[in-house]
Amino acid sequence: MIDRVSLYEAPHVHQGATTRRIMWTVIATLVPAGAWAVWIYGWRALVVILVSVAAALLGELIGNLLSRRFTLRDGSAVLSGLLIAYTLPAGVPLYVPIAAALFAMLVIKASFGGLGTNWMNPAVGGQVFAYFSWSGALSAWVTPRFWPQGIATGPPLGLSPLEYIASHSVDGAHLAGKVSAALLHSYPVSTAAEAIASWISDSLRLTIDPHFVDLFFGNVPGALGGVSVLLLLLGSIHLFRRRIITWQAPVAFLTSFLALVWVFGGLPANRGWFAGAPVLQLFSGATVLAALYLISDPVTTPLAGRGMVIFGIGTGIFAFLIRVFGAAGESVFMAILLMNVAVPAINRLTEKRLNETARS
Amino acid sequence: MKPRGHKLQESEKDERTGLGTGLWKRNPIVGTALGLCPALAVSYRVDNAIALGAAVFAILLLTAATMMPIGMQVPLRYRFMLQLVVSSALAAVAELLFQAYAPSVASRLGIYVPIIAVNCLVLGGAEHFGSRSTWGGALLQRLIEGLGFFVALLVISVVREVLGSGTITLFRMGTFDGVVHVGALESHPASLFGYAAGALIVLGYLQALAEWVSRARKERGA
Amino acid sequence: MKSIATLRNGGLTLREPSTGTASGPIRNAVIPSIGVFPLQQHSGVPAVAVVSVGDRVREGMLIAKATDTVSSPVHSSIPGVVSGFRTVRLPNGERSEAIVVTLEGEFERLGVSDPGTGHGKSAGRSELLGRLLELGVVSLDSNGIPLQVHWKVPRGKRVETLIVSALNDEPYVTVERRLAVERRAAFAEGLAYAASILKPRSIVFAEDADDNEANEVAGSLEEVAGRAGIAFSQVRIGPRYPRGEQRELVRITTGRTIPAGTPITDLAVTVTNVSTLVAVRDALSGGKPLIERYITVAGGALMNPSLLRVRIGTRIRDLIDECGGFRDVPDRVVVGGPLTGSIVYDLDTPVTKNMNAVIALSKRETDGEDRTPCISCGRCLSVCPEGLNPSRIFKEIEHGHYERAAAAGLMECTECGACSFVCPSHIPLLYGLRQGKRRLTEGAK
Repeated sequence: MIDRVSLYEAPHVHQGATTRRIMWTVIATLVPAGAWAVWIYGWRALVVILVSVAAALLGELIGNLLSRRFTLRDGSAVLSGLLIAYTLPAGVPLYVPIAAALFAMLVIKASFGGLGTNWMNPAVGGQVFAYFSWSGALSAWVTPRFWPQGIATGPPLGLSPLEYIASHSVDGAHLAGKVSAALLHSYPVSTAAEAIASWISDSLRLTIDPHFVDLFFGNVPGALGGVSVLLLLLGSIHLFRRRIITWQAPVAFLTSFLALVWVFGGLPANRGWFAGAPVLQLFSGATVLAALYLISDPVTTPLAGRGMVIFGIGTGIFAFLIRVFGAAGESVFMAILLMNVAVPAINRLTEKRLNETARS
Repeated sequence: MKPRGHKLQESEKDERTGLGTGLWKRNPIVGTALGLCPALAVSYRVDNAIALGAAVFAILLLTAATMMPIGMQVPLRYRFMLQLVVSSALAAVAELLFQAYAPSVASRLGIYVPIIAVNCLVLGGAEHFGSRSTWGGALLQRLIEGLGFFVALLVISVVREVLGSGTITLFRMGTFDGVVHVGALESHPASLFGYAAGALIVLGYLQALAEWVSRARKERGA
Repeated sequence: MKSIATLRNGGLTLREPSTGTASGPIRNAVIPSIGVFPLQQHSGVPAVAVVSVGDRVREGMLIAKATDTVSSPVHSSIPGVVSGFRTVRLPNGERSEAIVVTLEGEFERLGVSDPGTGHGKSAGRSELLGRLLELGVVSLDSNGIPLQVHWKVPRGKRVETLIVSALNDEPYVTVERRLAVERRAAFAEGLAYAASILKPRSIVFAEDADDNEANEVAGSLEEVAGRAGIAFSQVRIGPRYPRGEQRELVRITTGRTIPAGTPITDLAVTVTNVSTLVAVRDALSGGKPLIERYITVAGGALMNPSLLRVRIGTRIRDLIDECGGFRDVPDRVVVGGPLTGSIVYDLDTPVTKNMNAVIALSKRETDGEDRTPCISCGRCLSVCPEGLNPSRIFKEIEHGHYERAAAAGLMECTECGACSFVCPSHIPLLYGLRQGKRRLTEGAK
């Protein structure tokens, strides 16, 4: 093992970045979204987050015992634990994040060699493990703070938007298509959202349904870290500026996903072409969380920019297929896992051909 | 700890003899990965595993025993076909026995009983029948492999069922209804292990364990 | 004919550090009281001493002669007495015998302006090359190839392009641009000599895009080219590292890619810089052997970063003192640039012909982080000017798969160090790549 400590070799200066600092910066940009969730859903959300992070640290520690390295300080375990919690609802029974985090750290990460050697995204893998193992528990939505008073908190009104739509359509056929006005109307919306929507229509002359305001700010039942689209976007701006994440994968993913939803989303419900509801799909089901934070995990995604584009498009296609013809919220996560498998192949395909540089 | 199997002639320094080797390195499921499909398909319940494992063991042994005397008389290129006929007949018998005496098991095992006929494990010995090895040695060798299959299948099924459903389902015996309940796990089992994905994960770790044990044994000069 | 060019792939934009950079005019360094002259100051076979202990030497006198075609003689840069021989450890790790001269006696050249005999531009190529060999002139860049070898055009070949670089490629190393301005006439005259020896079809002047004084200099050069009937063009290059690296420079200015490992003599392109042309002029017009050169002495740990005209053989310790000593305890003293330079282990190491800078780096500036696992972030890939995948090549080398590393492009690596510079896990990529290359070339022998 070529170690740096004993070397005095060129180059003698360094740009200054460290992996640890990168991880903690990412964690820091995620805090606002989590804080919002705690405010909206109550203390239970905080408990879920803390338990998940603690379990991830424990899992990493056990892995450290086997590999005889101490890596807790590098922040990757905390980040994975945080992301796992962010994909879960606030009311989830605590054994779920614990098991998911342990599975992520031990099975997905440590068994393959620790940081940098896992091929599957640990947080996403943990989440999908939880989904297949305890799918019922993953619908433990908590109604958000700003919902109108007196709303019944259980199903059907207490469901996440996607599940609500799915439960009202025949064979889930309406899932990706434009939602009928009646259906939209029947879902609760906060007074604050209505106020904002009317303000927007007055001053900007733009009519938007107040439900989308709720979705954008994160005032609906949903995954902890996935609801507040606004705060996730703001946090990610810092990451983009520091070049910690690159634009290729998120843009490729969102473009392909949304385009497919828009074009084909209405077909299952026989609404015709171009009858999909991309904005709804964008703001629900933790799509934004996945696009900004999960797709950008450096370890399990391609190296080069071109590869990231391919990765993003592939994820978009799979996410579209699974969401329209399959489960509601978990689609993006499964899509990411499917593309994780393809990453080594993508890397080989997008490596610059040596012949290009050697000959001219 | 493990009794040595009957040694083959010196000239054949085949390691396929020891009980230890048969259980670990040459173990069909975790070592040489033979017969995985039926193994993983039915191992979500312990009683399935026991039934299938026993069936494979029995058919393996009986096929070998039948092929021994006949095999020598038959030219090499027909031995394989002969074995296929023998194992198919035995598999058909097994299927009928299951249907008669354990219909619920039969329905769960379904197609995997007749498939034993073409299980690589069962067919794998064709070339050895009629070779220089002694009948006793080769038979013992098959016995050990069958035992290995059975044990591996049992272990996998216990892990899968405990984690995946919180129970261990055995056979009805007297007043015991056959189901062992494992406390807290039963209310919130990790259903992933009931699926194929869970099976492969358990198999993977078991293979890692087998590899580790094999290497340790090799170092000890086993 | 000007255009702003940049690297084809990758590259880094490095900021010039706010403190520790030497700007301002070049001054003469104090004459050293002891001169240490290694016999190996160039690429090739070491010179052989022709003096013994106790001999009197004059300034500019031959003290070691070239033995081979690929060798260069050594001249004393100070008058004095040979006080002994020593083995010095050169920054590249090799050892060399060195002649030690103690200062004594009068100077002949000091303060005397160059006579400028204008050693016939009409003289033939081989005569000029012979003179350069005699006067110990080598290429004053990181290669240090004796000029009689570097500038010898094989029979039947033609030099297509002569690239003249006035780039300050690495941070801190700022002397070339300054020199082009301060000794403009000599620079142009040196170019004239180069043109008559190499007879290229075209001359390209490579300058930094932010170099404001380059145009005046370019004017003189263009005149020279015009008189020789050679096409001249300027290429302004944006501030990306490693634009000054030879193969990269050729690619930027001419668009041609030279395959790795091509021997110098096969190239139809010759690269040279300001220091070399000035030294050529001083040798051919002034009859002066290579006994001094222009050096950047800078760095965050240095009190007064300066651009100095230094006598070969001056100990680095003396240069540091000249610059006011250390401001902080230096973490490393490096010969060359901060990215590609070598560590100085001993401050008594002398300045040799092929040193262009001495940088004293403080602890704040150097990289002391431990190595952590690779997270496949891809930064190394994105900065590599050759378009390689350093992380993959490094992993192959670490696992001993040298042929696979070669297949992935190891030999194309120009050792610029950009990959190690950006790696957030602080993996010693450059070190590993160098090890790999060494293994491959040794194995091939």
